[in-house]
Order: sequence, then C-alpha cells, then structure tokens
Amino acid sequence: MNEFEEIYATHAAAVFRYALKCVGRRDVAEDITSEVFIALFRNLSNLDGRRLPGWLYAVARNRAMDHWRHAKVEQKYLESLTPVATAQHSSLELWLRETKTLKPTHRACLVLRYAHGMSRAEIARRLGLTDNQVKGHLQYALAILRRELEGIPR
Amino acid sequence: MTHEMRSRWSDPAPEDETMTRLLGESREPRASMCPSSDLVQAAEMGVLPPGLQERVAAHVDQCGMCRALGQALSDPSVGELTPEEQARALTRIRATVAAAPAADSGRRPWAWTTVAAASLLTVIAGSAVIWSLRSSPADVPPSDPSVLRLEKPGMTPGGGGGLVWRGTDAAGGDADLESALQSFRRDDFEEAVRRFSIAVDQQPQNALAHFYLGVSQLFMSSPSKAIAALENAERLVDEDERLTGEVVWYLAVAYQRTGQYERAATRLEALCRRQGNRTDLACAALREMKVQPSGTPPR
Repeated sequence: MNEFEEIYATHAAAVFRYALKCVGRRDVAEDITSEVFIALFRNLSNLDGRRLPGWLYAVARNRAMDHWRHAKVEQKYLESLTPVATAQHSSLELWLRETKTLKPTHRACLVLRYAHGMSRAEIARRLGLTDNQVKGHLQYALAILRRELEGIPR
Repeated sequence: MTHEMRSRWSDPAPEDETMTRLLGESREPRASMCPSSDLVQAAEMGVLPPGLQERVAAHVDQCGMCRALGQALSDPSVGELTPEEQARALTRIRATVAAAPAADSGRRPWAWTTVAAASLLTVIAGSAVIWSLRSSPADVPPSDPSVLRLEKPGMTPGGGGGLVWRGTDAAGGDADLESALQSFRRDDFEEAVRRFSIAVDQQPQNALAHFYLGVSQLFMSSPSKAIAALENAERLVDEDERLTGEVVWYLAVAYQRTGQYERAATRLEALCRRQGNRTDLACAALREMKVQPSGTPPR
C-alpha cells in the first residue's frame, strides 16, 4: 500500500465521524471527507507526517464551518425559536437521565423519535442505520422501559 | 392507535402508543422548541457562526433532552462510515484528482495502473491497491491555512468603504447591481451569481461587479468560475487600493481551493508586502503555509 492509501485507510472513518459531528448530516459529512482527502492528495508530497491526523481534522473543521456559514440556518432557527426555548422536563428526559441500560444509539433513536417526531426512515438516514435496525433499537428501548417502569420481564 | 398518534408520525407503530402511554406523553413532539439534531451536534463542536453558536449552546445548556441527544450523537459508536459511503467518497476522490489540471501546479499528471483502477473501490476492505503516481512536489508547501477561511468582504458599495459603482452607465445598470448586492447580503448566493452575471454583461468594465460575482461563486463552491471573475476584476481595478486588496485576497482563496498553491502564494506575497487591508492576514497565511515572503524579514 502506498502512503496515501495507508493514510486513507487509517483515518477516513475517523475523519468522517468528526465531520459528521460538525455538520450532523451524513451526506455533507461524506462530501467533507472527500474534500479532506482530495486536499491531502494534493499536499501529500510536502506534508510533514507528524501533522497528521490533526491536519485532516483542521481541514474538515474549516469545511464544516464553511457549510454552516453558507446554510441559511440561522434565520430559520431564530424565527422558529420561542422566547422560552426550554420546555419542562419530560418523562422521557427524566428516564434517559436515570436509566443506565441504554446505549448511545438507543438513546439517539428514542430522542429523535419521541422528542423530534422523526420517522424511522429519517432516523435511519440520520444515524446511518437501516430501517430494521432503528425499529429494533426502539423496540429494545421499549422493553427496557417496561421492565424499569412496570417491573415486566423482557 | 389514536388520531394524535397517526398525525404525529408518518409511520406510526404499535410501540409508539405503548411508549407514549408509559412515559405519560400526550402533547406534540417538542421539535418546535428545540433546535434540530444537527444544530445541537454542531454547537457541541463549536463550528456554528457566532450568534447562532451562542443561541444554540444556551438552549442546550438548559434543555436536558438536547443534552442527552448531543451526548448520544457524540458517542464514537454512532456515526460509522458505511461501506457505501466509503465507496462513494473514493469514487469522488478519484474523479476529482483525475480531472485536476496538472499544468498550473507544475505537477506531472499521475496515472493509474489497471489493477489500481479495478480495485480502487475495495481499498477500505484492505485489498492491495497499486497507484502509479508520478508527480513533482509543488514548490509551495501545502496547507489549508485557517486564515484563508471564506468570509464575506467587510465592505459594501456606498458604505463605509467609500466604494462607488463604476463602469458604463448602462440604463438600469446600477439598479441591477443593487439588487444583486441585496441577494448577496441575504446570503442568497445562487441568486447573487445570477444577478451579478447579468450585471457584468451590462457593465463589462465594472471591476466591482466582477469582484462580487467571483466572491459569490466562491460561496457557491465554484472556485474555478470564481477565478475567471476575480481575474477580470484584477485586470479592471485601477487606483482603488481597497478594492485591489480585496480582489487579490479572494483570488488567493480561489487559487488555494483549486490547488494552485503557487499562484495563491504569489497573491498573498503581494498583499503581505503592501500596506493595506488584508496585509496581516496574508502574512499570517504565508506563515501557515511556511512560505517566507521574498524580501521581507521574518515576523
């Protein structure tokens, strides 16, 4: 494997995860990941390897900041925000705080479904899962909730 | 299944009713009160524009649900690159690199071997991929200088910068330019490109119109088109020192984005040597690129 391939194989997934955290959309994160490694390809022969992977993350971060600057997000968000932007603590919120059993993926599925009202397909796209996986996670979370609230065995 | 359930989700399922009953939830989802999940996550990473960053972060601080979501989405187990996404990214990298002009950067074009072309999409699976890469290093050290971030120019015609429209007095020309500027101010860059394109057709000698067309194209992620417009602006701008500085700066950004590092460095060197707007930023960019401006002492 040559140097570029090695770097790509080593860091692509991490760069993608970082980009996804910055922009929240898998399609945009995928674009940013491509752009990062295109930039790496162009600069590889002169790049000090000790600057990796920080250099990759810096490029990803810059691209993410460009994305947010270009997106007409601020106006939409500020228009939608109510003066009292925090709601009372919901039962879901209290339960998520208390329960120790759920993994992050389960928690994300629950909040996106029951707080943000997303469909299973939307959740699947958001998290990079299949519809069946989302369905399974929600059903698992329900089983845990029933067990913890009602003492019903799974 | 209640009517409310059916209206709440496009795909109601039996567990929704059970979950809602167990949690005692009876109202609509709180999505209208909370920022979207991608905003929550971006705020955690600190990459939102100022203003928006503060608003979203303040909300998350007070909203347990958003905090729970942000923490869940930040976990390494969430957000794996799927094989399909990996393959698409590789295809795009290959296509972009293959199409990159070699002449401007002084690099000889690279070539794929037959094996490499066939096995490219399996590289992540660990297959050996042979690339035959013939290139000479660019003279300018690589970088993606943080100071070369794309931001809107801090001046507008008729404003504090004291710029005035110049060029032919085509009937209605200034009105078109003004409407184009309004689109630009609203961050509607697609519309701004369309309107500035009309403006340069009507006033081909107007450096400012070419300049804003180029900057709008940069915001539309079309750096190659931006270069054409900005080079026109550079050619047309006369004694206006302030506009000259802005044109040269954005040209440097556009060259950088298209991998023309030598040309970017040349423009930045010119800015670094002169005394005017963007001088400090240009010198800082050159330092990040590890290029010493010729004829100037180290800072």
